[in-house]
Amino acid sequence: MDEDFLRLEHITKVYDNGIMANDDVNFSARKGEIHAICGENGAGKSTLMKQIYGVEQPNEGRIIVRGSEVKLSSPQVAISHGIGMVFQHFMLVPSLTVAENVTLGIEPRAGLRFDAGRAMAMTREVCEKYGFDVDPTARIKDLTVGVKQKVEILKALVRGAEILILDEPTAVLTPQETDELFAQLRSLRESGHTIIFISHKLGEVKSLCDRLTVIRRGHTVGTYDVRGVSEADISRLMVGVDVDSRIPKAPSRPGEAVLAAKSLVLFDRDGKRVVNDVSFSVRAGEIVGIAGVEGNGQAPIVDAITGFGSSGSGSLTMLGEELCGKSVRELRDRGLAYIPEDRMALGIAANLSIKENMIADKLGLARYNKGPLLDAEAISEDTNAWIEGFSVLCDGPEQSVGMLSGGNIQKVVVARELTGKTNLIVCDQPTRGIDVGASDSIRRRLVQMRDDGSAILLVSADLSELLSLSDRLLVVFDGEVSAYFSDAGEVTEEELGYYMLGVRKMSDEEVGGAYIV
Amino acid sequence: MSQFLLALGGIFSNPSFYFTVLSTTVPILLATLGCAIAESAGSTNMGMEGIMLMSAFAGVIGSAYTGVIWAGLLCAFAVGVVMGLMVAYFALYLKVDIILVGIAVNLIGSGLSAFLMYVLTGDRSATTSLQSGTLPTIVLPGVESIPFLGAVVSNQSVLAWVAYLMVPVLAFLLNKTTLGLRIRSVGEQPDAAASVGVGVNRTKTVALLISGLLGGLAGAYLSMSYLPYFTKGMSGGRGFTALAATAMAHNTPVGSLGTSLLFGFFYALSTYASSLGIPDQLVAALPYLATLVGLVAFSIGVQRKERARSCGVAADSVALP
Amino acid sequence: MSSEKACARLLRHLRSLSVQSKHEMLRMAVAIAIGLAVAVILVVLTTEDAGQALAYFVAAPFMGTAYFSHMVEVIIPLVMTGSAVCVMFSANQFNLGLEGTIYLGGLAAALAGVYLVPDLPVLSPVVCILLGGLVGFFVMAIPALLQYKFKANIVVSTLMMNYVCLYVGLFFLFRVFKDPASSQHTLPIGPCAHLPVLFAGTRIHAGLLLAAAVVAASYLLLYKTRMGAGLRMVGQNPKFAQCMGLGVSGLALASQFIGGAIGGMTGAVQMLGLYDRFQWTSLMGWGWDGVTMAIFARNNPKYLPLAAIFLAYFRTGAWVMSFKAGVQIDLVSVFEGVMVLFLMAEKFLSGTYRKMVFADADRKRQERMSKGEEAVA
Repeated sequence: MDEDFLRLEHITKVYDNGIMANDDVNFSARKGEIHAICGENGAGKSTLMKQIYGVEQPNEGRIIVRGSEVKLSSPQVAISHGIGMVFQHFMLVPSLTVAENVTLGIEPRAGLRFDAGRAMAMTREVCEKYGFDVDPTARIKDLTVGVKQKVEILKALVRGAEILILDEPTAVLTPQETDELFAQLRSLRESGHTIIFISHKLGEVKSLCDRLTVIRRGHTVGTYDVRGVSEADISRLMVGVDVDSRIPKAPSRPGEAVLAAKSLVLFDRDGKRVVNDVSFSVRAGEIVGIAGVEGNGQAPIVDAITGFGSSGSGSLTMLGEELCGKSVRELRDRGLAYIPEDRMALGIAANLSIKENMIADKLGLARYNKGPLLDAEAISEDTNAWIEGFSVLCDGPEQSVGMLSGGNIQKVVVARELTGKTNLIVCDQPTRGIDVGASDSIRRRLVQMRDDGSAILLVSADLSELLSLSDRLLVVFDGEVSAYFSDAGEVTEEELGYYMLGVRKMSDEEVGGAYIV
Repeated sequence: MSQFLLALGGIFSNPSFYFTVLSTTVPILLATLGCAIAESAGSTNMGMEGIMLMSAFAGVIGSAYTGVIWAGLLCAFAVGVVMGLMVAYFALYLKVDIILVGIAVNLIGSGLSAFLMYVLTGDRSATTSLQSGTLPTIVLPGVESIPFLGAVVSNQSVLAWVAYLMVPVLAFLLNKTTLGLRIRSVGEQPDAAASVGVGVNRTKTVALLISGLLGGLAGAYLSMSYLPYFTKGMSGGRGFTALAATAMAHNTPVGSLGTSLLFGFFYALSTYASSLGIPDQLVAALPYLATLVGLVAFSIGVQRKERARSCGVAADSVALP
Repeated sequence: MSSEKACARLLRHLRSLSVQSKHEMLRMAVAIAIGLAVAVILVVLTTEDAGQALAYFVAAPFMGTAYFSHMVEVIIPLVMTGSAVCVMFSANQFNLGLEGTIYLGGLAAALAGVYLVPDLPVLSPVVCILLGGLVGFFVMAIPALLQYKFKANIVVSTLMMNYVCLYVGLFFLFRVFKDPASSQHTLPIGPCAHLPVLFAGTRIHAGLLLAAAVVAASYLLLYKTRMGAGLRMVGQNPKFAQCMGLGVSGLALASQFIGGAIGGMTGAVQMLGLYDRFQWTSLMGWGWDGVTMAIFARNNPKYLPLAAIFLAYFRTGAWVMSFKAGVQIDLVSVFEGVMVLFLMAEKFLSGTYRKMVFADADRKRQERMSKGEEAVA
């Protein structure tokens, strides 16, 4: 036990909103190892790391560094104990040089002056010591993502970090950059550093790490020697449905195809190909689920359908009409409903009332306009009915949406979207982070809409939700469809895990079945 | 037309024109530098107008009551700093939108200076009843005798020299010191700065303090050099001009010198405009128009650069931007 | 008896308010108290007969018809520019360009009153005001479009536009339309172009009716029409507005066009109501008043009349105090500035807010429990 450089004992973390992110988590990392932490989205990995880096503090439990218990009240304290972190979103100042970024906060001084020469030397010294090929005089804004990440690592090293936490570091890297990063991390291990590597990518975990700890739903499942487990084992440990919360539903009676994507290729803003040759369709009266670890192409697909898309090729049609180039208004007029993933950013205006939020997409309807003015009576009548019908718990229709709980906010969003024109309903994480009761009612509502003839595309990280709601199911991995199941009811979560994590992949022919018109 | 060109040539060959350019630039330059350092830290100091008025007034009062002109300067200084800290307190700690803080500070500055003027001096529009004096001018022994140049730079107020000296001082402060590094990082990426233990609010407060100090100097120049007394509302929109000059200069001290000189040049030209036979009002409008054009040119440049970076694939959003 | 009933109704209403709005009211009351305290302290410290001065400050509008009339005169531009700023700020457009639109709107109206329609009964002022509004619309369109097209910082560009407007206006005033007999103003406007006085013996002019109409219209626009709902959505969360299928940039532009048109009309109304000829040689400050008004009214035109009466009341007081008790009128700017600071301070009294929230939660829990007990019983 004494070789443990860092040990977490019985860590429990409950957020203010009552969500228990970590429940009695135990974890330890040795000196000179690369230790992976694996878990699904929302399993509690990030929360755990934030506690190690002092951003959050545990409610219960102990953190032990080099054999003595510490209180990590801020990142500064964590750094002083030799703990450094590389976030997914870089914490760098674009217009400053590498050396300035690396030494910001611990600037070498000569009197009042910032000693640029020494900063340069400090940076160069660390670069040489650990074999980083970074120009200290370059400005951050001119660097590629891979180099920026190196700068982040340098920042930690120059402060004497002996433990480095990397939060999904390869998510933004090209394969070459990934190889380079791994070589660097291995050499850091040689020099006695401990690296905590958070990742979904099992291949990377297998090739790079010594041990791994699996976290599921806030609990530690266990710590394993990487050589002793296969990718399939890890996948099984990570993915699991805790409670069976199947929603009763009749077999689907699909009609004509409402949404059809054919050979869809999409690029992100930097020109990176994020969706590659994806084909599928959603028919009226069915729910098609998309499973996958976040960041494997779901978001660009949803954006392209809902009018927030960037460029690409292939065809994307709704009821036979090409979607690309249409405004959000035009899409909504054709019967698109959208329950966005980030409900606070896209789903509501927090300071406006429940009433105003519910009516926001329907302002143009004749029913709600009387001459030049809005028909307050009709609006009140309908919004009251929706508040009642969707059981939104609130003080009244005039209350600001932002004052409601997460579940009730989502009910407002769902109420708005499902009461408009709903030929196609795109749901992105419709029940994320909300309580069981609200989740259940929203899921039942979606099945109801399916039975009434809407075509529903469901993107979710919650596998039990996907399996219980979907009629047909796609799995995306690395921008491509890695699996297609024509009957979601017959899939096990274990099987799903293999495809989500890239352990297995179906042939093009099998996957082609997703496109039915 | 030829007559116009002749008159213009007459102005441009007259050293006193350049003397005027340099002296009208001073208050704008000081205010612009003040706005630039605040803006570098990510705080728009809209309250410059009010800061200038209060310190202009404080300078006159301090100087008249003590009989020592330097005591007046000290008063202007102190008031500028206090006002800068006031902006910081309300914007950073009580979380008032910083633009609204500026508007409120301008209201308070213009109101309080005029109110106190009447209380202390009995004057309603200008402190002409006070003997407050002006700051000394600097006569450069050797330089004065140099033809042309001597007439331009000699006899400028000591504060003018301070103002122009402030350009390299601030450039040094922003680019070469630890404080400057922190100010720039806080202005650009507060999260990044905070993540390495740089106190964001503390750094911004220091920047606003320096901003207030420079505003204090600008005010002192107005009432103790440019004019020998305080008049109601004497800042005359220079605080707003400074904001624009800062935006055009992209917050750099050297750039601020350039844009301030542009304003100074047109201000000076407008006082000569009558001799040119062109309407002085239109000449006076020129620097503001130039700012608008400059803002547009600046943002076109930024947009081009961005477009160049996202090379190849056009990320054209389907919906409205 | 009836007053008791009213009291009870008021209490019930107060109790039904959310914690949020209760706290907002508390904050507003404290901000006003601080502003008044500052003003009173300044007067007491600096004035010989402070009692008399303060009496004028707090009660002047009731001390004479002329004073009351002055108060109403002051209200007119306050509510108009307040409406303009409410419309623009509701859409989160930080446009500070009203000063310029007011100036040129006033000039345009005056020129129309001199040359275009000096003597059409009834129609003259209407045409003049519409023209003023049109000028304001076009003037404001410049910075709005520059922001839309080139992302030019709206705060800076509108501040600059104000001065461009001033100097262009001065050029026309001094170089083109100057009264040859004098140096500082245009020819007098036609007899019919004046806004008629509403109440004999006062200076309260028909602009008051227009001001009332503008406030009502902007309230209806923002809170009762489809466009206004869109404007407020854009102001609160533009990405959400886009997601709801709204034309975000179009609405942002529209709010500024409307603001500009109201600004131009304000200038015209002030000109035709209070002046015989155009003689403004500097920006008039009513545009900045609009920002103060919007802050007091929380961007909701519904509260503008109350806010305008409040500000105009004390402005009149300060005005009377200035010539009756020799207290400089500028005191009122300090008073308003201090109130703006505290009104907008998010963190001001935040400790009290937290306590209020907890107390409210406790009360609700107790209510639920007692209800539960009843149900069990």
